[in-house]
Amino acid sequence: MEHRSVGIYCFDLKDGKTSESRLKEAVKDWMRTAESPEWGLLAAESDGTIIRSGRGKPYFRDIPGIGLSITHSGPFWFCALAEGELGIDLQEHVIRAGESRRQAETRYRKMAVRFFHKREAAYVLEGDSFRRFFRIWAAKEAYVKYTGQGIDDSFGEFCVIPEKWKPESCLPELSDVSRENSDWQREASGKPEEEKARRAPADGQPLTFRRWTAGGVWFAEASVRAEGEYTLCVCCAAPVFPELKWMSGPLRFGAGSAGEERQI
Amino acid sequence: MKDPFLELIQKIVYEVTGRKNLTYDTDFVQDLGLSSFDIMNIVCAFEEEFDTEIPTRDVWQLHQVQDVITYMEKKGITVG
Repeated sequence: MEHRSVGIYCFDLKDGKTSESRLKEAVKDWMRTAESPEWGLLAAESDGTIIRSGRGKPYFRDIPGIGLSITHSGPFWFCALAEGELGIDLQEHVIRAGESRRQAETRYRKMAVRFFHKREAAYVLEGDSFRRFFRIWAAKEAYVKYTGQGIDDSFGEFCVIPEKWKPESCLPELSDVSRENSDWQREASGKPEEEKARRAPADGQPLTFRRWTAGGVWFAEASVRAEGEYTLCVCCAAPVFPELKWMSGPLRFGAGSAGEERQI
Repeated sequence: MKDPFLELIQKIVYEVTGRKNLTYDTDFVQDLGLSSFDIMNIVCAFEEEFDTEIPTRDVWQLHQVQDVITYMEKKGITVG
Protein backbone atom coordinates (compact mmCIF):
# COMPACT_ATOMS: atom_id res chain seq x y z
CA MET A 1 0.00 0.00 0.00
CA GLU A 2 1.24 3.48 -0.83
CA HIS A 3 2.28 5.45 2.22
CA ARG A 4 3.04 9.12 2.66
CA SER A 5 6.11 10.50 4.38
CA VAL A 6 5.26 13.74 6.08
CA GLY A 7 7.88 16.12 7.42
CA ILE A 8 6.65 17.92 10.51
CA TYR A 9 8.83 20.90 11.41
CA CYS A 10 8.47 22.20 14.92
CA PHE A 11 9.38 25.71 16.00
CA ASP A 12 9.19 27.75 19.16
CA LEU A 13 6.56 30.43 18.52
CA LYS A 14 8.82 32.92 20.33
CA ASP A 15 11.93 32.25 18.27
CA GLY A 16 11.70 35.67 16.67
CA LYS A 17 11.28 34.21 13.21
CA THR A 18 8.51 35.03 10.77
CA SER A 19 6.25 32.32 9.42
CA GLU A 20 7.85 32.81 6.00
CA SER A 21 11.36 32.25 7.33
CA ARG A 22 10.27 29.14 9.21
CA LEU A 23 8.66 27.80 6.05
CA LYS A 24 11.80 28.43 4.04
CA GLU A 25 13.87 26.52 6.59
CA ALA A 26 11.39 23.67 6.58
CA VAL A 27 11.20 23.47 2.78
CA LYS A 28 14.96 23.53 2.45
CA ASP A 29 15.32 20.66 4.89
CA TRP A 30 12.45 18.65 3.48
CA MET A 31 13.72 18.93 -0.07
CA ARG A 32 17.09 17.55 1.03
CA THR A 33 15.45 14.44 2.39
CA ALA A 34 12.62 14.05 -0.14
CA GLU A 35 12.93 11.11 -2.45
CA SER A 36 12.51 12.97 -5.74
CA PRO A 37 15.58 14.98 -6.90
CA GLU A 38 13.42 17.37 -8.91
CA TRP A 39 12.00 18.74 -5.66
CA GLY A 40 15.48 19.91 -4.74
CA LEU A 41 15.72 21.95 -7.93
CA LEU A 42 12.34 23.54 -7.34
CA ALA A 43 13.22 24.38 -3.76
CA ALA A 44 16.46 26.01 -4.80
CA GLU A 45 14.61 28.30 -7.21
CA SER A 46 11.64 29.02 -4.97
CA ASP A 47 11.39 32.11 -2.79
CA GLY A 48 9.01 30.26 -0.47
CA THR A 49 6.09 32.57 -1.22
CA ILE A 50 2.78 31.28 0.12
CA ILE A 51 -0.54 31.83 -1.61
CA ARG A 52 -3.90 30.86 -0.21
CA SER A 53 -7.07 29.46 -1.70
CA GLY A 54 -10.35 31.30 -1.27
CA ARG A 55 -10.86 29.39 1.98
CA GLY A 56 -7.39 30.09 3.29
CA LYS A 57 -5.61 26.82 2.46
CA PRO A 58 -1.92 27.62 1.97
CA TYR A 59 0.18 26.56 -1.02
CA PHE A 60 3.69 27.30 -2.21
CA ARG A 61 3.33 29.57 -5.23
CA ASP A 62 6.14 28.00 -7.21
CA ILE A 63 6.36 24.44 -5.85
CA PRO A 64 3.21 22.75 -7.17
CA GLY A 65 2.52 19.31 -5.86
CA ILE A 66 3.94 19.94 -2.40
CA GLY A 67 1.30 19.84 0.30
CA LEU A 68 1.66 22.36 3.09
CA SER A 69 -0.24 22.79 6.32
CA ILE A 70 0.42 25.01 9.33
CA THR A 71 -0.73 24.86 12.91
CA HIS A 72 0.13 26.58 16.18
CA SER A 73 -0.93 26.07 19.75
CA GLY A 74 0.61 27.11 23.03
CA PRO A 75 4.34 27.81 22.50
CA PHE A 76 4.53 25.69 19.33
CA TRP A 77 4.39 26.50 15.62
CA PHE A 78 4.39 23.44 13.33
CA CYS A 79 4.32 23.07 9.60
CA ALA A 80 3.87 19.83 7.71
CA LEU A 81 5.18 19.09 4.22
CA ALA A 82 4.46 16.14 1.93
CA GLU A 83 3.96 15.20 -1.68
CA GLY A 84 0.23 15.77 -2.14
CA GLU A 85 -2.43 17.34 0.02
CA LEU A 86 -2.37 17.10 3.77
CA GLY A 87 -3.68 18.78 6.90
CA ILE A 88 -2.18 19.09 10.37
CA ASP A 89 -3.55 20.28 13.67
CA LEU A 90 -1.96 20.71 17.06
CA GLN A 91 -4.40 21.42 19.85
CA GLU A 92 -3.63 22.22 23.45
CA HIS A 93 -5.99 20.64 25.97
CA VAL A 94 -7.36 23.87 27.39
CA ILE A 95 -8.78 24.40 30.86
CA ARG A 96 -9.77 28.01 31.41
CA ALA A 97 -8.49 30.05 34.32
CA GLY A 98 -10.62 29.36 37.39
CA GLU A 99 -12.17 26.29 35.77
CA SER A 100 -11.79 22.77 37.10
CA ARG A 101 -11.11 19.84 34.79
CA ARG A 102 -14.60 18.54 35.53
CA GLN A 103 -16.16 21.86 34.50
CA ALA A 104 -14.04 21.89 31.34
CA GLU A 105 -15.13 18.34 30.61
CA THR A 106 -18.80 19.34 30.95
CA ARG A 107 -18.24 22.25 28.60
CA TYR A 108 -16.52 20.08 26.01
CA ARG A 109 -19.28 17.51 26.16
CA LYS A 110 -21.71 20.27 25.15
CA MET A 111 -19.37 21.36 22.36
CA ALA A 112 -19.11 17.79 21.11
CA VAL A 113 -22.89 17.53 20.87
CA ARG A 114 -23.04 20.97 19.22
CA PHE A 115 -20.32 20.55 16.59
CA PHE A 116 -19.43 16.87 16.11
CA HIS A 117 -20.94 14.02 14.12
CA LYS A 118 -23.25 11.93 16.32
CA ARG A 119 -20.81 8.99 16.44
CA GLU A 120 -17.98 11.32 17.43
CA ALA A 121 -20.17 12.92 20.09
CA ALA A 122 -21.10 9.46 21.41
CA TYR A 123 -17.39 8.59 21.61
CA VAL A 124 -16.68 11.76 23.59
CA LEU A 125 -19.62 11.33 25.94
CA GLU A 126 -18.87 7.71 26.80
CA GLY A 127 -15.31 7.94 28.08
CA ASP A 128 -12.66 10.38 29.26
CA SER A 129 -14.55 13.26 27.63
CA PHE A 130 -11.80 15.80 28.16
CA ARG A 131 -9.11 13.85 26.32
CA ARG A 132 -11.47 12.34 23.76
CA PHE A 133 -12.84 15.74 22.80
CA PHE A 134 -9.40 16.96 21.77
CA ARG A 135 -8.60 13.77 19.88
CA ILE A 136 -11.71 14.26 17.75
CA TRP A 137 -11.22 18.02 17.42
CA ALA A 138 -7.62 17.68 16.22
CA ALA A 139 -8.60 14.97 13.73
CA LYS A 140 -11.50 17.03 12.36
CA GLU A 141 -9.36 20.13 12.05
CA ALA A 142 -6.65 18.16 10.28
CA TYR A 143 -9.31 16.80 7.92
CA VAL A 144 -10.81 20.20 6.99
CA LYS A 145 -7.30 21.54 6.43
CA TYR A 146 -6.54 18.54 4.19
CA THR A 147 -9.69 19.16 2.12
CA GLY A 148 -9.27 22.93 2.25
CA GLN A 149 -12.94 23.39 3.18
CA GLY A 150 -12.25 24.85 6.62
CA ILE A 151 -14.87 24.70 9.35
CA ASP A 152 -18.27 25.17 7.76
CA ASP A 153 -21.78 23.76 8.09
CA SER A 154 -20.52 20.33 7.04
CA PHE A 155 -18.19 20.07 10.05
CA GLY A 156 -20.66 17.83 11.85
CA GLU A 157 -21.55 15.79 8.80
CA PHE A 158 -18.30 13.91 8.25
CA CYS A 159 -16.99 11.46 10.81
CA VAL A 160 -13.35 10.79 11.68
CA ILE A 161 -14.29 7.53 13.39
CA PRO A 162 -14.45 4.44 11.13
CA GLU A 163 -17.98 3.17 10.55
CA LYS A 164 -17.29 -0.39 11.59
CA TRP A 165 -16.02 0.51 15.04
CA LYS A 166 -18.26 0.74 18.03
CA PRO A 167 -18.03 3.89 20.15
CA GLU A 168 -16.36 2.14 23.06
CA SER A 169 -13.57 0.79 20.90
CA CYS A 170 -13.49 3.16 17.99
CA LEU A 171 -10.14 4.79 18.49
CA PRO A 172 -7.05 3.21 20.01
CA GLU A 173 -6.81 4.79 23.44
CA LEU A 174 -3.61 6.61 24.20
CA SER A 175 -1.83 5.44 27.31
CA ASP A 176 0.97 7.39 28.89
CA VAL A 177 3.58 8.21 26.24
CA SER A 178 6.37 7.34 28.65
CA ARG A 179 5.18 3.73 28.68
CA GLU A 180 4.91 3.48 24.92
CA ASN A 181 8.53 3.58 23.85
CA SER A 182 8.30 -0.02 22.78
CA ASP A 183 5.32 0.85 20.57
CA TRP A 184 7.44 3.31 18.56
CA GLN A 185 9.17 0.58 16.61
CA ARG A 186 5.92 -1.20 15.85
CA GLU A 187 4.45 2.02 14.49
CA ALA A 188 7.40 2.68 12.18
CA SER A 189 8.02 1.16 8.77
CA GLY A 190 10.01 -1.74 10.14
CA LYS A 191 13.36 -0.72 8.67
CA PRO A 192 15.87 -0.13 11.49
CA GLU A 193 17.59 2.80 9.78
CA GLU A 194 14.26 4.52 9.14
CA GLU A 195 13.16 3.97 12.71
CA LYS A 196 16.27 5.76 13.95
CA ALA A 197 15.72 8.63 11.53
CA ARG A 198 12.20 9.09 12.79
CA ARG A 199 13.14 9.43 16.39
CA ALA A 200 12.93 12.82 18.06
CA PRO A 201 16.13 14.18 19.67
CA ALA A 202 18.16 11.35 21.16
CA ASP A 203 17.57 12.32 24.76
CA GLY A 204 13.89 13.07 24.30
CA GLN A 205 10.82 10.91 24.40
CA PRO A 206 9.81 9.70 20.94
CA LEU A 207 6.24 10.33 19.93
CA THR A 208 4.08 7.32 19.28
CA PHE A 209 1.76 7.85 16.37
CA ARG A 210 -1.51 5.98 16.13
CA ARG A 211 -2.89 5.49 12.62
CA TRP A 212 -6.37 4.79 11.38
CA THR A 213 -8.48 5.33 8.30
CA ALA A 214 -11.96 6.78 8.08
CA GLY A 215 -13.98 8.32 5.28
CA GLY A 216 -11.36 7.43 2.68
CA VAL A 217 -8.49 9.30 4.33
CA TRP A 218 -5.79 8.44 6.83
CA PHE A 219 -5.00 9.93 10.18
CA ALA A 220 -1.88 9.77 12.31
CA GLU A 221 -2.15 11.09 15.84
CA ALA A 222 0.17 11.56 18.79
CA SER A 223 -0.01 12.90 22.31
CA VAL A 224 2.50 15.66 23.07
CA ARG A 225 3.37 16.83 26.58
CA ALA A 226 5.20 20.06 27.37
CA GLU A 227 3.87 22.34 30.12
CA GLY A 228 0.49 21.00 29.15
CA GLU A 229 -1.03 18.30 27.05
CA TYR A 230 -1.57 18.49 23.30
CA THR A 231 -3.00 16.31 20.57
CA LEU A 232 -1.22 16.35 17.23
CA CYS A 233 -3.00 14.94 14.18
CA VAL A 234 -2.12 14.69 10.50
CA CYS A 235 -4.59 13.82 7.74
CA CYS A 236 -3.64 12.61 4.30
CA ALA A 237 -4.83 10.42 1.44
CA ALA A 238 -2.47 7.54 2.27
CA PRO A 239 -1.08 5.97 5.47
CA VAL A 240 0.95 8.68 7.12
CA PHE A 241 4.49 8.27 8.44
CA PRO A 242 5.38 11.51 10.17
CA GLU A 243 8.97 12.56 10.81
CA LEU A 244 9.40 15.33 13.34
CA LYS A 245 12.25 17.78 13.46
CA TRP A 246 12.76 20.47 16.05
CA MET A 247 14.04 23.56 14.32
CA SER A 248 14.34 26.08 17.15
CA GLY A 249 16.76 24.01 19.15
CA PRO A 250 15.61 21.59 21.82
CA LEU A 251 12.63 22.91 23.74
CA ARG A 252 12.89 22.68 27.50
CA PHE A 253 10.15 23.34 30.02
CA GLY A 254 9.81 23.18 33.75
CA ALA A 255 7.56 20.24 34.52
CA GLY A 256 5.37 21.03 37.52
CA SER A 257 6.57 22.25 40.89
CA ALA A 258 9.60 19.97 40.93
CA GLY A 259 11.20 22.12 38.24
CA GLU A 260 12.34 19.03 36.37
CA GLU A 261 13.25 19.78 32.82
CA ARG A 262 11.87 17.52 30.18
CA GLN A 263 12.66 17.59 26.52
CA ILE A 264 10.13 16.44 24.02
CA MET B 1 -22.29 56.03 27.71
CA LYS B 2 -21.56 52.34 28.19
CA ASP B 3 -22.93 49.88 25.71
CA PRO B 4 -24.20 46.76 27.54
CA PHE B 5 -23.86 44.70 24.36
CA LEU B 6 -20.23 45.62 23.97
CA GLU B 7 -19.55 45.00 27.65
CA LEU B 8 -21.16 41.57 27.47
CA ILE B 9 -19.12 40.58 24.42
CA GLN B 10 -15.97 41.85 26.10
CA LYS B 11 -16.80 39.75 29.16
CA ILE B 12 -17.44 36.59 27.13
CA VAL B 13 -14.32 36.93 25.00
CA TYR B 14 -12.23 37.59 28.11
CA GLU B 15 -13.61 34.49 29.86
CA VAL B 16 -12.92 32.32 26.82
CA THR B 17 -9.58 33.71 25.65
CA GLY B 18 -8.22 36.04 28.31
CA ARG B 19 -8.15 38.87 25.76
CA LYS B 20 -9.18 42.37 26.84
CA ASN B 21 -9.74 45.86 25.45
CA LEU B 22 -12.06 44.92 22.63
CA THR B 23 -13.66 47.73 20.69
CA TYR B 24 -16.39 47.71 18.08
CA ASP B 25 -13.92 47.28 15.23
CA THR B 26 -11.72 44.66 16.87
CA ASP B 27 -11.31 41.80 14.40
CA PHE B 28 -11.39 38.43 16.15
CA VAL B 29 -8.81 36.83 13.86
CA GLN B 30 -6.73 39.71 12.50
CA ASP B 31 -6.45 41.66 15.77
CA LEU B 32 -6.80 38.99 18.44
CA GLY B 33 -5.16 36.14 16.51
CA LEU B 34 -7.85 33.72 17.62
CA SER B 35 -7.77 30.18 16.30
CA SER B 36 -10.80 28.34 14.97
CA PHE B 37 -10.92 26.49 18.31
CA ASP B 38 -11.13 29.82 20.14
CA ILE B 39 -13.81 31.04 17.73
CA MET B 40 -15.96 27.95 18.25
CA ASN B 41 -15.61 28.27 22.02
CA ILE B 42 -16.78 31.88 21.76
CA VAL B 43 -19.67 30.82 19.52
CA CYS B 44 -20.81 28.33 22.16
CA ALA B 45 -20.54 30.97 24.86
CA PHE B 46 -22.56 33.45 22.78
CA GLU B 47 -25.21 30.82 22.05
CA GLU B 48 -25.54 30.03 25.74
CA GLU B 49 -25.59 33.69 26.80
CA PHE B 50 -28.08 34.82 24.15
CA ASP B 51 -30.07 31.55 24.07
CA THR B 52 -29.82 31.34 20.31
CA GLU B 53 -28.09 29.24 17.68
CA ILE B 54 -25.46 30.65 15.37
CA PRO B 55 -25.10 28.47 12.23
CA THR B 56 -21.49 27.78 11.35
CA ARG B 57 -21.98 29.40 7.94
CA ASP B 58 -22.79 32.68 9.75
CA VAL B 59 -19.81 32.49 12.11
CA TRP B 60 -17.21 33.39 9.53
CA GLN B 61 -19.19 36.49 8.50
CA LEU B 62 -18.79 37.89 12.01
CA HIS B 63 -15.30 39.33 11.67
CA GLN B 64 -15.53 42.17 14.15
CA VAL B 65 -17.28 42.86 17.44
CA GLN B 66 -19.71 45.21 15.68
CA ASP B 67 -20.71 42.39 13.33
CA VAL B 68 -21.76 40.28 16.33
CA ILE B 69 -23.82 43.14 17.79
CA THR B 70 -25.54 43.81 14.45
CA TYR B 71 -26.20 40.07 13.98
CA MET B 72 -27.77 39.68 17.40
CA GLU B 73 -29.87 42.83 17.01
CA LYS B 74 -31.22 41.51 13.70
CA LYS B 75 -32.24 38.37 15.58
CA GLY B 76 -34.16 40.57 17.99
CA ILE B 77 -31.76 39.99 20.85
CA THR B 78 -31.24 42.87 23.25
CA VAL B 79 -29.08 43.32 26.32
CA GLY B 80 -29.73 45.36 29.43
